[in-house]
Amino acid sequence: MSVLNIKNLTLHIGDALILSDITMDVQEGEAVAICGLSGAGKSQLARCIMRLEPENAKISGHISINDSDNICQKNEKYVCNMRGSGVFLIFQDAADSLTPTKRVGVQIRECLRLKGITDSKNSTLKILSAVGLSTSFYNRYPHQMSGGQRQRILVAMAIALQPRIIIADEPTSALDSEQKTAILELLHHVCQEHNMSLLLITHDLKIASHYCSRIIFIDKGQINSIIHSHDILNIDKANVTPLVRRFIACTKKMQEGYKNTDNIINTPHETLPLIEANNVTICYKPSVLLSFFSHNTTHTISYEKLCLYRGQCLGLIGVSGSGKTSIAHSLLGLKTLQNGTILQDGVSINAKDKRLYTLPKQAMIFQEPHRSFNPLYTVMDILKEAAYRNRNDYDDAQLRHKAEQVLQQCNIPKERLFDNITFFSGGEKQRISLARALMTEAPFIVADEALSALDSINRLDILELLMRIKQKGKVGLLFISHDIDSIMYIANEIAIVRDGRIAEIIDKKTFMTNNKQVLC
Amino acid sequence: MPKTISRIAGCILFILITMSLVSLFYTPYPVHEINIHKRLNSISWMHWLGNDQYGRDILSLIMRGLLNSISVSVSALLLGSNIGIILGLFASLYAGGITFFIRRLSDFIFAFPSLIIAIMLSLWLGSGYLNSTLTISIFLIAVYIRFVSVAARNIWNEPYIQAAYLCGKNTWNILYDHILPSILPLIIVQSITLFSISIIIEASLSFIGLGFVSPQPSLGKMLYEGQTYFFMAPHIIFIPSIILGVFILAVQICGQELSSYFSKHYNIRLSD
Amino acid sequence: MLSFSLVVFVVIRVIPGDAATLILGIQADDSSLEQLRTELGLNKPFINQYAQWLYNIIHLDFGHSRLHGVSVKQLIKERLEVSIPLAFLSFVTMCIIAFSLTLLATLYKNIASCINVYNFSIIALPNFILAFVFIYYFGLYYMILPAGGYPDQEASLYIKLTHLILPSLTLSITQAAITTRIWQASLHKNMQSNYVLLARAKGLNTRQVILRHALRSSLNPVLGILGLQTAFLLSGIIIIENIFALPGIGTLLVKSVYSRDLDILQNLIMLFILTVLFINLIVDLINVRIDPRNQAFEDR
Repeated sequence: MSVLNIKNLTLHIGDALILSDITMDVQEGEAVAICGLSGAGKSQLARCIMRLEPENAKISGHISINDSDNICQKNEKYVCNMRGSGVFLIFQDAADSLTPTKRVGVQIRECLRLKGITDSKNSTLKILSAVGLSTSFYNRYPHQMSGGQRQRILVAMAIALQPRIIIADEPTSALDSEQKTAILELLHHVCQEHNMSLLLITHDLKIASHYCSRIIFIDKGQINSIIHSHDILNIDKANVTPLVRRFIACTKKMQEGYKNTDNIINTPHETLPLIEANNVTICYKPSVLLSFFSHNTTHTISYEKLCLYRGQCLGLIGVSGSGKTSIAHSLLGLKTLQNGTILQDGVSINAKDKRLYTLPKQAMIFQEPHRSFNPLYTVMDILKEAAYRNRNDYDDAQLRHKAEQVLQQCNIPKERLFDNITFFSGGEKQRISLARALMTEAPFIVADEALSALDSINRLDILELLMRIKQKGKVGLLFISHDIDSIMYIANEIAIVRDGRIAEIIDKKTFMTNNKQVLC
Repeated sequence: MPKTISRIAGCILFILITMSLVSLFYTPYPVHEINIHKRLNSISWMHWLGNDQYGRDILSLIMRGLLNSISVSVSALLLGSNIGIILGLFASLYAGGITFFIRRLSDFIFAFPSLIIAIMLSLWLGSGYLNSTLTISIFLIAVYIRFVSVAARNIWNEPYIQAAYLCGKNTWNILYDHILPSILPLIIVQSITLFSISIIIEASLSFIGLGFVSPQPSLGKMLYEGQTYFFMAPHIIFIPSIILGVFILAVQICGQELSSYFSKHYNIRLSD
Repeated sequence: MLSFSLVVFVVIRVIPGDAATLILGIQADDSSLEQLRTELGLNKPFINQYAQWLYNIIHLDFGHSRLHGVSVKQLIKERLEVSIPLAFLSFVTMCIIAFSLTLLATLYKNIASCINVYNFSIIALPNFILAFVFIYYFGLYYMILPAGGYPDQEASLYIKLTHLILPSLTLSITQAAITTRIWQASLHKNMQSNYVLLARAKGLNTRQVILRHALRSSLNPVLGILGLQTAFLLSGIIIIENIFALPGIGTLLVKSVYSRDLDILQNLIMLFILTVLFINLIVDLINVRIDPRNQAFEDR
């Protein structure tokens, strides 16, 4: 019996065609994955199935849940009954998907009330423990919980509602790798226990093939191919579409990153390290007014020794909130040091005695691609700004020539030099970030969670690019991530950050042989 | 906002402003000409908008009155925006004592209803042009400080500012290259809204007698003086009211149009 | 608080120059000026005068009005009997209007544009213009409601109320338009957010989603401007009381400006500012109650 049946679904938002002619089904108790690049229309498909498409959307085709009528043509009331009881949606980012002004217990209870369960308080507590949360969470507000805990609340809601099918829209993309597996396991377990079907939307083929029996690939709003997942990585390449081939190749390459050890430089070529830090402490003091109200909000970040040589990459790994970004900021001289020294090429960096523009050259690639550029600027403006230090060395023609060169290095066509930055996609923006870093001719580049906003194929592209730059340009790279796979791919040495300090620095081989669970 | 409405608003604004400017050289009748026979006369061919309680021509009064209102608002806007923007930028620049002080200053001003400021100033300066201008600009300073500092602070927190620092730019470079261009559209749009608000405040001030002194006409004052004759000749209240309302509405529609233009052509969020 | 009182005192008493000259006029002769100065304590140093005034305020002694011949305290008390019901009535009306307009605009999309146009034009009109329209239609043309003035103390509550309807309506309509605009924008933003999608995914209908989830979260910016609104409301009261000839503190204030009655002015202004500060304080407290995110640093 099919729980979800979609025929010829087409979706327009405004004038743009988002989904065209989607036909698919999900059987009872089955887990199906939808894979695709970002912007392929995966999330819109999920919202369509719930009939939660944006207001200016036009939808046509046939969707039926649990052998119901076509909900594309039904009125709001009918669809309301279908939502919750028939199908439930778990969102990407739990940070803003829970009502901020209501206690989470009450929000779960609301689901039970909708099912007509009267003794809802006790049931709520039972469900909370079923998703691995203590009963004290009943009275918490969403902002008092971590990302993983909030995702668990969403799963709890699903248990309360008992839908026939759960749609999970990238439920783990905002989480650390540790919590990622935990949430996926929980979701998998819950679905099996209550005989619910699962439609998992993801761009990670590894997850998809592990949890789901079928994988539906979506490209530009159309179904590219449907593949049974148990043999996906060993499938005959001649039989599949280019998109699937790219996904498979990407997953394989990432796995090879573990085995590939020939990029480890055992003996540094130079004696003088690019970056050397000793006994560094940074303090975060709350503002005068805030400290008046609370006493223990001073955070300290400290680490004893950190060395980075040219042509090397140091990976910084740790759970979110452990202080990875603060360490990077201190190395860049953006933070005042409490004590200790940081030397770049033997010259001290300290935000206290700085004139920032006399600092040695450094560059950074930021986490959120859409916030790392001034939206008023064109690519040329950005690259011109990057060459600010050398503004007297180049005239306009030389500058333009160099900008084009750098863009080409980063796989951006040079014809787009004068396009406004907002016309670029997330992956392209990160590549322009990289171009900006190259333009400064900085020997030290920090990539702060640079890949976390990208899908797996774009991720690999950037990783390969970083790898090439690292080897060719003789730059030192500090790579911050919570994703073990990408760190394993690029880093020579790995520093584990825990509670605001660097717990240990080990090289890749030891990291692999040791238990990976040292993380938390 | 449909295109036609904003076009009409633009035309009305143009006509009214031209009318007020023309009053410098020409009014249908001398502004202060008193003609007791014609007092409270309604609309006629001789006097298009009728006569007031002293028999003065209402059209001429409105032309000059509008000019007075506009000039007070514009000068208050110039004064208030310059001081407010500079203070607001300062407040966004440094975390700490100065910021705290400037923020408190704007809160402090907000706690005074603007009419109270006017009353307090009037004891000092007496009523008139200067009093209205100062009152309005004090209010505007507070508004500018608040929204400029918040908008600029938001931009200072963006990662691309850090990137600019890493490129070797100093604070003043960044202020000039990033912050100012980004908040300029916001400032322009806000200024237009604030212009209409200052017209309202000016009218209110004149209305309770703290605006222009007697021979000088102003729309608010016409309403204030006409109040007593309201029952006999409603037109001496309604006509200035309509002109005032239409003028303010037209200004606001133009502001709205400009804001949608900016958000379309620049990628800037103009909401609060 | 102290700084506010200091500013008021300095501006009213010190800057205008000699208070005695201000009161008696420039033509007054020297001996009567001197007499008044001693009477007012103007010969004492500035700090003493200021301290004296603060001391009196704390003991609820607001001085004596030269013009009215009664104590300022009694005068203000009398006037407040008109102004407080007026303010309260307009505040309640404003809340009702704003609440219903916001809900209507969010629930029914086709009404929304009408409400937007209405709000837009109301905000553009100064409230005294609205007052004239009301007086003309309800007071003069249809004669349903009194056009102005206020009955004696002995008059029944009903009659008193009818005299307050038009003024409070005038005040509240402008205020409600501003509030609606901000509330509506905030609610609209909240309705776009993920948690509303989730609530709808649970199977709640639009009405339930708004009432149970979005409404409370959208109140934050509304409360934020309420402090500012109070200042506007007080300015409005001054004007509206003058138009409708209500014997409230607004008319008293304007009258004292003309008659240079500094005692009344100084205390009234202080009263106004205290009201604004007090309302702001309450708003802050409510804000913390309504949105748990604001408590964040307190219970950590």
